[in-house]
Amino acid sequence: MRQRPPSRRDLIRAAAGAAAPWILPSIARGRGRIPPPSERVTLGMIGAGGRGTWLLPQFLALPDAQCVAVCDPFTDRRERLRSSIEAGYAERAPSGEHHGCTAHNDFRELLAREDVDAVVIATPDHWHVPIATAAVRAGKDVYVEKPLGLAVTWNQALRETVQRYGAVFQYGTQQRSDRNFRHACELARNGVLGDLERIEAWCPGMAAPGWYETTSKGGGSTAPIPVPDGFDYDLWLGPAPASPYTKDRCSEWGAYHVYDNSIGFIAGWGAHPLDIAQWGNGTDGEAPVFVEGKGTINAEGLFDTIRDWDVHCRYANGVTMRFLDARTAQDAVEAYRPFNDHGTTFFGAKGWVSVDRGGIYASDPAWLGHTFGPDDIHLYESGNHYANFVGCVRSRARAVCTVEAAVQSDVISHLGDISIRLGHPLRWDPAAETISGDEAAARLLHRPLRSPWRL
Amino acid sequence: MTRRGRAAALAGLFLACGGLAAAQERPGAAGTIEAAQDRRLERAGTTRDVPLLVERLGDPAAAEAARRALECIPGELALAALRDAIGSTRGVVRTGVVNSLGVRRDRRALEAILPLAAVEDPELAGAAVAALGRIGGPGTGRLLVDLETRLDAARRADLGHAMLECAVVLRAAGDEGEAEAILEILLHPRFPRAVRAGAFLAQMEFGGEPARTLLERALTGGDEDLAEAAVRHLARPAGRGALLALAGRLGGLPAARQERVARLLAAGQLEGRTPAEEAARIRAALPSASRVPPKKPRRLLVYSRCFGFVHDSIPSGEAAFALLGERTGAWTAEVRDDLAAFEVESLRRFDGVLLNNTNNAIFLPEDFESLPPAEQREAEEIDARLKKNLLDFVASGRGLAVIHAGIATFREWPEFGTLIGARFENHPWNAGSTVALKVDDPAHPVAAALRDGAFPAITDEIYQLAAPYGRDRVRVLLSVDLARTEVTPEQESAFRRADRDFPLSYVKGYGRGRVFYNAFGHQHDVFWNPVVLQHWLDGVQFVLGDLPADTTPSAREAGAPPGGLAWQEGPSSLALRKEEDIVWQLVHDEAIGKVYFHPVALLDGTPLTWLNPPDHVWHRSLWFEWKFIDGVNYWEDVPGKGLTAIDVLDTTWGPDGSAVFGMTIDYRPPGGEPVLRELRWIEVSAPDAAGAYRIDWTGTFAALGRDVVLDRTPPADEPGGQSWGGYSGLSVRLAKETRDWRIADSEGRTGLNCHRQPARWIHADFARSDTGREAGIAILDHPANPRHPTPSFVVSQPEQPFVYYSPAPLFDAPLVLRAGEPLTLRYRILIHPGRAAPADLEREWQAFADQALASDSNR
Repeated sequence: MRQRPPSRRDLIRAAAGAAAPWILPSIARGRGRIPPPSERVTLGMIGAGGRGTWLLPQFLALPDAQCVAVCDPFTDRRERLRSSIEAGYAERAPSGEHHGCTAHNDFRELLAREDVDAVVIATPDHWHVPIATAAVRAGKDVYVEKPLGLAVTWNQALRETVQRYGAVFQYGTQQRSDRNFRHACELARNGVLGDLERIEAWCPGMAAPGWYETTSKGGGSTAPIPVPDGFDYDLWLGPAPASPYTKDRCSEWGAYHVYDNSIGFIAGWGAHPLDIAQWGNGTDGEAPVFVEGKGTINAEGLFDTIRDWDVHCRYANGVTMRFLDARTAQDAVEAYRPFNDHGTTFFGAKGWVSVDRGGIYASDPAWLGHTFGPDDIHLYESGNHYANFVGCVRSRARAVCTVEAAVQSDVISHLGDISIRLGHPLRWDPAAETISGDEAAARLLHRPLRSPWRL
Repeated sequence: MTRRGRAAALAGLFLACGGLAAAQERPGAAGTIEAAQDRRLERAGTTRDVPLLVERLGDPAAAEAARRALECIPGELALAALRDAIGSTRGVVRTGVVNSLGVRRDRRALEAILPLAAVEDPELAGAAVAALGRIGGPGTGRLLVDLETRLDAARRADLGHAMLECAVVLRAAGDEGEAEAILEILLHPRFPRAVRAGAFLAQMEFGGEPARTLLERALTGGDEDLAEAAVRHLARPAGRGALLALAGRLGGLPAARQERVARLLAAGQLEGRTPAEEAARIRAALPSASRVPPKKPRRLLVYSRCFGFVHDSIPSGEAAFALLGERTGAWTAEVRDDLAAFEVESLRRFDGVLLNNTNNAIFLPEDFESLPPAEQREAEEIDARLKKNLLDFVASGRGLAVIHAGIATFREWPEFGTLIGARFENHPWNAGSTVALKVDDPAHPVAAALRDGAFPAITDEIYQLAAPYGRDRVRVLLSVDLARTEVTPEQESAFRRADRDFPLSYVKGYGRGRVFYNAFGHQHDVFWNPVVLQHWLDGVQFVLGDLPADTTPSAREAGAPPGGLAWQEGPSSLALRKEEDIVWQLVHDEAIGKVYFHPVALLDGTPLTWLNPPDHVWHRSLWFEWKFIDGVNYWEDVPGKGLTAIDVLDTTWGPDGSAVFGMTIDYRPPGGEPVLRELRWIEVSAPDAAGAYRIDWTGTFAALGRDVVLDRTPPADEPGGQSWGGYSGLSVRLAKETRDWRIADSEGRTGLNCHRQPARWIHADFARSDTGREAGIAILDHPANPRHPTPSFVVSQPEQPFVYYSPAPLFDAPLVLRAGEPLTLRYRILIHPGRAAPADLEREWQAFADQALASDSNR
C-alpha cells in the first residue's frame, strides 16, 4: 500500500491528464500564460551568495516556476534571498502579498521536502557535486552552477547518479542558450570555416582587472578569526578539509580561489569558454588527449589556486586548443579582433569565427548571416537557459547543457590544473577517462570527502 | 614499493594491532582544524606512509586527515589499515572509514561492514549500507535484501539506493539474475519514488520482451510513480526508439499519459547524435579507396531486422556500410529489414549479406507468440524456408558478414552456429568497457588494417562466444589481449571459457562461401573509427569474393606473451607456461596453509624440484617454513602441528612474464590465536634470453602481542641434539631425476663441506638423468639479513636421491622475536640453465646486495 499522500507532482500530472486529448504545454507552444500554482515547477534555491542572488531574478521571471525554499548556512544571506523571493512574487500577486517560501540552514532539510521538484545549486564549488547527487537521489532535478566538481571522480559519480535516476540536469553555462554562441559553434561544426584546426578559449584569471582585483591584492588573509554568529561554518565546510576560518575564506569571491574549496577560475570561469569550445568541436563526450599547462600560483596568502595560465591541448580529432587567462591572452586576441576578457575562437582552414557575450566576429563577415540547410548539423536551440531547465523538468527532455558535457569541459580545467601543479604534460585517455601512464597525476583526479560526507 | 617500504608499512600495521586504543570520541568534525601538510599525503602519500597514518588514526586531532590520506594511497596495505580502523576508530571518523572502503570498493571489508548496517547511529548505518551497495559482488544483493526485511522504514531510502547501486554493480559483473531480483523488489511502492524510477530504468536496460511489457504496464497502469519512471526512460537516448514508436499510437494510452508523452515528443530536442551528424562523422572517417577493386559490380544486403534488445547503433551501421560501398565503389548496399529480402528471388541479386546487429528469431513475425495456431504454422514454414535460403546462399559461394549482436541471431537454430562458427554466450565487458587488442594473424589480408599497433584498444561491449567456437574452427584475426586488459573479479566470474579466448574478428569458410565476423558495433563511435571502417571494408570485400584470404582455422591458440609465454591462473595458483610446458608455478594452498613453488623448471619445461618426496613428504619443492614457533612444530605434517593461514593480498603479473605476489601468513598453534604474522613478497622476474629467472623472496615477521621463540631441532653438539638438526627456512629439494650434483658456496667450499658454514650464497647445479639437460639453482643471502652470512644446511645423498640445501638462520641458535621488532629475511633464488661458474654467481650476489641497498637508501 502506498503510504505517501499525493504530492505536487501527482497533482501536476492529474491536472494535465484532465485536459485530454493532449494539449501541448505553454512552453512547447512558445506562448506565455501563467499556469496555476499547481502546474508550476517548484524550485529550491541552494546557495544565497553572490551567484545565487544573481540567479534568483532569472528564475523569478519564469511564469511556470515557483521558488518555494532557500538554503544557506549564512542566516543573513538566506533571509535576504527569501525576502527577495517574497517581494518578487508579491508584485504579481493580486493581493500584493506573498508568503510560502521557507528558509533552511541545512540542504538536507530542503531536499526532504516532497513538494520541491528541482533545486538550483549555487553554493561554493566544493558543495556542487555532493548536494547535486543527494538531490537527485531525493528525486529532484538539478540546475548546477559551474564549475562542476572538486575532483574528476566526483564529476563521474554525479554523471552516473543523474543517468541512473533519469534526472534532468542543466549546467550553469548559460552561453549555450545564446544565439551567437550557437551560431559560432554551428559554423565550426558544419565546416563553413573549412576543417576545424584550432581553438582559442580564454577567461578572467584570479588577477584579472575589474571585479577580481580584490582577490589578487594581498592574496587573501590566512589569519584565523572567530566564526561570526549566524553562520554554520562546519556545514559550509562540509566535505572540504576542516580549515581555519579567515576573513576571506567564505567571502563571496574568496572561496573561488582557495584550493581546498575550488580549483579556481581555471574551472569556475574557464567552464564558459571551454563549454563553447567543446560544443563547437563536437567533443561533448570527450576531453583532449594531450594537455600541457604553464601557470602561476601565489607564493603566499590564502588564495592558492592557479592565478594565470596558458594551457595547450590536443584532441583525438587532431584539433588543438589554447586555453588562457585573459591577461595572458590579450595580445594574441587583439591581433585579430577587439579584446574582451573572455571568449572562444574557432580557426578553420578557411578562416575563423570568434564569440563572446559582447558579440560575434568572423574573418568573413558573410558567415555571420550564414543559413544552414536541412542536412547540416543543427545544435540544440535554447533561448533562455533557465526556462530551458524548467521546461525540461516539465517535459523530462534533456536540457541544453547535459551532465555528460559538463563532466568533459570540467575535465579540461582539472587537467590544466594538474599539469601546472606537476609541471609536466599529461596524456588523457578519453575512453578510460583517466590520465594514462602517470599514476602520480592520475591520483589527483580524486579527492576524499571529509567525514561523514559521501557522494 | 621498495622492500623496506613494505617492511616499514607492515611494522606500522603491527603497531596498530596492539597499540591503537579506541580513544577518540568525535574527532575530525568542526573544532579540529587540520594542518595543510596533511593534504600532501592525500595527494602523494605512498605505502611507506601507512604506518605513520595508522598512528595518526589513534590521535583524535589527526585521525580524519589520516583516514582521507589512506583512502588515496594505492595498494592493499592502505586498505588493510582502513579495515583495521573499522574496529579501532569511533564516531564520525569511523563513518569516514566505511565511506573510504566503499570508495575503494574493497571486497575484503564486506564482512566487517555488514554488522554496521544495523547500528543505531543513522550516519554510520547509512554509510555502511551505501558501502555494501557500492562494493557489491555475488551474494551482497541477498545480504541487502535480507537487511531490508529487518530494518525499519526510516532507513529504507538509504537501503533502496544501496540496493540499486548493488544491482547495477552486479549486472555489470554479468550477474543478471541477482540484479534483476533486486530490481524487482525495488519497484515496490514501499520504496521512495526516485529509487523506484532508478530500478525501472535499470530494468529497461535488460531489454527484450520483459522490458517491453514493463514499459507498457507502467504507461497504462495506475501507478503514477512507474508512469513517471516510464517517461524518464522515454526521455533518454536509450528510450528514443520506444518514444518514437509511441508517437503513432498515443490514443491507446490513458489520457493522463498521452499528455506526458506528447510533451516529450514536442520538446523535440531528443538528445543524441542526429543521423546527419553521424553520417558526417562516418564520412570523415571513410577510407578513400578499397584495397582491391571489385571483380564486378557487387551488391550487399545490409539487413537489420531485430527483436529483443535493439541496438540503437543499428542506423549507424546502416549508414556506415552504405557509405563504405558508396565511397570506395566496392559495393552497392541495399538496406532492408523485411522478410522478403531472404526469398530466393531477392537473394539472387546479392553477392553478400551483412547482418547489422540483428538479434533473435528474425525470420518470424514480431507478434508470433500471439498468432493463432494456423498462422503460427505458416510463419514457421516461412522461417524454415528463409533459413534454408540463407544457408544455400553462402554454401553456393557467396558471402556472409556479421557484426556485433548478429552473432546472437537465431539462438534456437544450431545450424546458424555452424554457419558462423560460434554462438553468443554473454558480455563480460559491458558497453563502454575498454579492452586491449591483440592481432592474432598480422599477415592475414583481412587483418591488414589492424597491423602495426594501429589498434591497441577498443571501447565497446565485448562478448564471450560459446561453442561451436574454437580456434580449430575459425581463423582468428583479432582478440582481447587479456595480459594487458584489466579484469575485475566480476568479469572473471562471467568467464565461461576455460581457454580464456575472446575473439573479436575472424573468418571462416562455409561450403564454397565465406564468412566474416567482427564483434564491434555497440558504441556508436566505433562506426566512425577509421581503423574499424577499413577493417570492415576488407572483411566485406573478402566475403564478396574480391579480397582473397586464407580461411584455414588458426587451429592452435594464438600466441601469447613474448617467446610463447602464457599465464595460467588457477584458484590458488599462478603458473607461467611456455607453450604447453610449465616454467614455474606458485601455489598458495590455503587448505593446508602452505605456499611453495612447484614445479620450478627450465623454459623447456624440465622440472628441477620435487614436491612431496616419499622420504620427507613435507618437502615442497621450493618453500619456506619454520621448524618450531614457541615449541610448536610447523615443519612436518604431524599431529599437533602449528597452523598457518594465508591471505593473498596482491597478485600481479606482467605481459613480459614477470609476477609479484604479496601475502600475509598467520602462524598459530592448534586451538590458539595467531602468534606470528608474516608479510611475504615474492617477485619473479621475466625469464631472460637464456631462460634464467630470479625469485626475490622477502618475508617480514612480527610477533603478535608478545615475544615468540623461533627454534629448530638442535644440532648434534647441543644437548638433546641430532645429527640432522639445525634446519628451517627457505629450502630447495631437487628433483628425483637429477644427477651429477655440484654443490658450492660463496666461500669456495664444495659438497658437504658447505654444511653449517656461513655463506653469502649456496648453489647446486646438476644434470637431468633422463635428458642430460643441465641446470642450477642458487640461493643468495642478503647482507641485511640478521645472521648474514647465514650457515648453509646441506644434504646430499645420491642414492635416494636426497639433495636439499638451505640458508638456515637458526642453525647455530634459536631466535627470540620481540613484539614490536619485526624481522625481515630476504633471499634471491636464481634458476638458470647449464652449469654456473662461481664468478658468475658472485656477480649475481653483488647485484642483489647492491640493488636492495640502493632501494633502502631511497627512503
